[in-house]
Amino acid sequence: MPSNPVDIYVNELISSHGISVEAARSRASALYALDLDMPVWRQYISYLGNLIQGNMGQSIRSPGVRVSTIIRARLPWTLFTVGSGLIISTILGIVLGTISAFKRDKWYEPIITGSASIISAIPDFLIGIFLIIFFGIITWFGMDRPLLPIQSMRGTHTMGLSIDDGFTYIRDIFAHGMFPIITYVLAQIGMWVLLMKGSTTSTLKKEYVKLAEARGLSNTKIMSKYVARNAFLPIATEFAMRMGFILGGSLIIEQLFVYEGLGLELLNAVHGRDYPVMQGILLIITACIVFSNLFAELIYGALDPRTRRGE
Amino acid sequence: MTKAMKKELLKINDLSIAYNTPRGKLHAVRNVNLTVHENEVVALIGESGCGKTTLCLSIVQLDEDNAQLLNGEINYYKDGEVKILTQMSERDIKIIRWQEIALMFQASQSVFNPVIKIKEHFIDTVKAHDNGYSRKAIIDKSKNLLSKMQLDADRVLNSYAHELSGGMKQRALIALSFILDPKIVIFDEPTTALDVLTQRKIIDLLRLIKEEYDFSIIIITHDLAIAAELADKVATMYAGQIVENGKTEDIFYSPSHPYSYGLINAVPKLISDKCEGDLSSIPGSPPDLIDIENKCQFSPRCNFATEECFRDEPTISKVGESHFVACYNYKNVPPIRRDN
Amino acid sequence: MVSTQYLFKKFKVGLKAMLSDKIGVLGISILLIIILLSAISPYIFPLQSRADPTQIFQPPSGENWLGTDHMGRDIWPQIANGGRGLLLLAFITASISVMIGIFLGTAAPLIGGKFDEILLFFADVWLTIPRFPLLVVLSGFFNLTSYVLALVLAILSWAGLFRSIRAEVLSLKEREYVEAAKMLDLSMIHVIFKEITPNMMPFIIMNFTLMMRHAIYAQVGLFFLGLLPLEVNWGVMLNIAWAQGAIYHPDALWFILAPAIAISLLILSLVWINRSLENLFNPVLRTDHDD
Ligand SMILES: Nc1ncnc2c1ncn2[C@@H]1O[C@H](COP(=O)(O)OP(=O)(O)O)[C@@H](O)[C@H]1O
Ligand code: SF4
Ligand SMILES: [Mg+2]
Repeated sequence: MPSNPVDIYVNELISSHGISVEAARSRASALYALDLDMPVWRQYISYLGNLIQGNMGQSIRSPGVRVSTIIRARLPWTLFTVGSGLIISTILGIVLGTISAFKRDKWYEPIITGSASIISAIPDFLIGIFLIIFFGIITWFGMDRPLLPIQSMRGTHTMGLSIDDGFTYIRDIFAHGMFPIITYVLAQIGMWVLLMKGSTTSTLKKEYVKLAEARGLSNTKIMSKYVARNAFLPIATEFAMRMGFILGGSLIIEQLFVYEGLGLELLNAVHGRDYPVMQGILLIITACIVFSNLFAELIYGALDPRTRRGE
Repeated sequence: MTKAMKKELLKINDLSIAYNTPRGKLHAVRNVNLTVHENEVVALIGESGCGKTTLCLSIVQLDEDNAQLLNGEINYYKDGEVKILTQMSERDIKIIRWQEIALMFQASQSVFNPVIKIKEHFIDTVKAHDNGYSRKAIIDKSKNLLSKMQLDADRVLNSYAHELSGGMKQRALIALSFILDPKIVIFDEPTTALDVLTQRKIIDLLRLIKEEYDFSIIIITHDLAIAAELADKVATMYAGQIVENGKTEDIFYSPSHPYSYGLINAVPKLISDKCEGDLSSIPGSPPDLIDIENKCQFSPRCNFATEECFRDEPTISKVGESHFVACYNYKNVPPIRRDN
Repeated sequence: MVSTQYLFKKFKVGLKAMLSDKIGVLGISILLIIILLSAISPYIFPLQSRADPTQIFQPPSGENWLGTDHMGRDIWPQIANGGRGLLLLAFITASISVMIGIFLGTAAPLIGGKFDEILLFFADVWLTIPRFPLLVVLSGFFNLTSYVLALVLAILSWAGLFRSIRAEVLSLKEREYVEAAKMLDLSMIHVIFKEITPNMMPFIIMNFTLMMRHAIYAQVGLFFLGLLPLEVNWGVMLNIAWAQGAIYHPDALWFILAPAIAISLLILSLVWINRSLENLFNPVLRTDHDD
């Protein structure tokens, strides 16, 4: 089993391109900006050093293209779709969750909660597949074609359009991002509804809410200052945590909709054994998670005095 | 102060409340009559589950969602006018709450909103009833009350609940309950969650503040020593009913109901600096309140029971001046012997 | 003292309560059907290996209950046989991961000190690992066979359970019967497995189903992306449907819907079982601290 990416790459060059060992090594050395005569651990340290300075090396599949350039081109699309999905699902989830917490005796409450718990269990890529089938494949009764032209909605935007096209461009990226965004929304909304419902229901039972009623406070005041502020705490933390998974959560969905974001790039890198790109993307994904965790702690500290340290 | 001068403040008439449960109606409060006069301290005693909390929640109309008023009413007298609390609109009862009647919940350790400072609770309360006060005026009054409760007022006002000890929170809550000068303050087991020393302190403070202000208290307690020390009147509850009701010295020295007798006889010393009364000392357990049988509810545990006790529920008899009991054999209940 | 008899009694009471919960019954039934199919299908619904170009993408019929695939093979035997591998691997993953979680989660707080601190730090770091992307990358480096994958998945997911068990043990440690056991001079291993673990059973079972769910997601995802060796299972069926473009082919509806629904049902059954367990145990596990 090959021990490190550089060796794998060198072996591959030798076997598949028939290059000499020296030539292969010098090419690898240039790619990774490494001195291959150093011990492996020194190589790795120096690779990490390069990383820290923002130099993630060059792509193997497209020689000469820097990994950072690739990431910079792909990142915005993933941020756009997963981010929109996260924000939309959170807002809808908060609204629906609050409704179902307050209207527990209404006929539609079991429907909201039931659908939420079913949909939150189904893996995101299956939701994507179901969407494709129901909107893009099946020709529903009385129609002559499927609801949406799924084939022409693949990709991130229509070739040739750019930001200079203004509104047409905006509409175009939303049309292309629509399926991934809806998938992300549906994949997460159930979780938000259940979380918000649970959090609101348990807050409503708290003694401080009952005492606020006993003190004669108006319902608006109780809802805003006593219920909402506390019920919102778990939502805020979860949101911050999920922000961390914005970049990592998109692999299969992007593959499914041929959406050229960071996840699809990672997959292509894996298939093409493009180690520098793989490492670079994994690094960005991890960094995103670490920063969001810090951010989550900050948010929590700001919202909940109990977690603040020191006097 | 003579009896005639005391005016009625709160009158509970034939109140019955049931909880709707999957097994059926749970009759938590049954045909309760109780009067609270101005400046009077009424103690409600009785073991857990006999309906004390249910009764008190109903006074400020904060009944649980599944509670149902079966019959009766609660009247509140203000400026010579009767207000029927049990028939009030949500808007009107909000005005009564805390301003006229302040209810402090049982186990009140998390009664403060954890994400806002204590002072916000004082300000919110006053503003809810009268928007005319400035924050400064409210803070000043709060400080005054908190100092009376022997708290470091500035520190407490600027703290969050988690920064205060259990006893401090309880005292802050008592201060909060006086912010609107209510006519009645209801304490539901105010000391249960606290250690003995803190309990003692709270009771002393309550007595101090009682001397200074004019208001009535309804206090629910498991602690007979506290009841004896604070109360003018004692009502014993059993299985949703008030089975005995009278002046404190009558109840404690010559109880007429076997249940009261059992409770009081079990306590070695009534007034002591350690609060060691305990209501769990009578063998047996209270009846199921869902399937209520037509008999004296206490009969399975009663040493004085006779045949008729198992046939029919006893009605109320008048034992003495404002001393009532629901028992067939109250004449057989001996007075309490005190050796000290 | 906790005995097998006691556990058995608890189990019986739990099972009874669970059977009175409709969602729990539904979950258990679906899971049992899938397990049953996995066990009997090789004999009753054997896979059909020969392609039949005349029968490509046939709709469901009396003969082909779920229609046929891109090579004209019957889909139903593929569905009936396609859950076995997934389920088995998920079970192995959950077992390993739960064992790691229990072992470290009880050992850390009992040993305490630096050991505990370091493990806790590790767990925190571990929780920030982007699991699925990492699996994808790993599958680019190594040939992940089922058992290696189970191990990797388990190693990637011990941290969550470790933390919850550690927290529970810390609070249980304070309770009397553990003290009593210590006074009787019972060994620590005894304390862990005789006293603490049984008390956390509900918790562990719930985590087990959760872990199985994650394992199934990861496997199916990797299969769908074509990153694992091909065999007959629902994930691979999705992958083939995708790779063949069947997903955009109206006639191939059944070929793609069947495995998608099967996977959804499997995961839903685990979620429902988990939820009914949660309802069942919640009075015990509920922690409603305010401050
Ligand atoms: N929300 C509720 N639903 C059903 N039963 C209740 C509810 N609250 C209290 N009860 C029952 O009503 C009876 C009286 O309860 P409570 O008023 O709390 O008694 P106490 O305060 O004297 O301990 C008890 O048997 C209790 O179990
Ligand atoms: S009525 Fe009978 S049973 Fe009931 S308390 Fe009196 S003596 Fe006891
Ligand atoms: Mg009570």
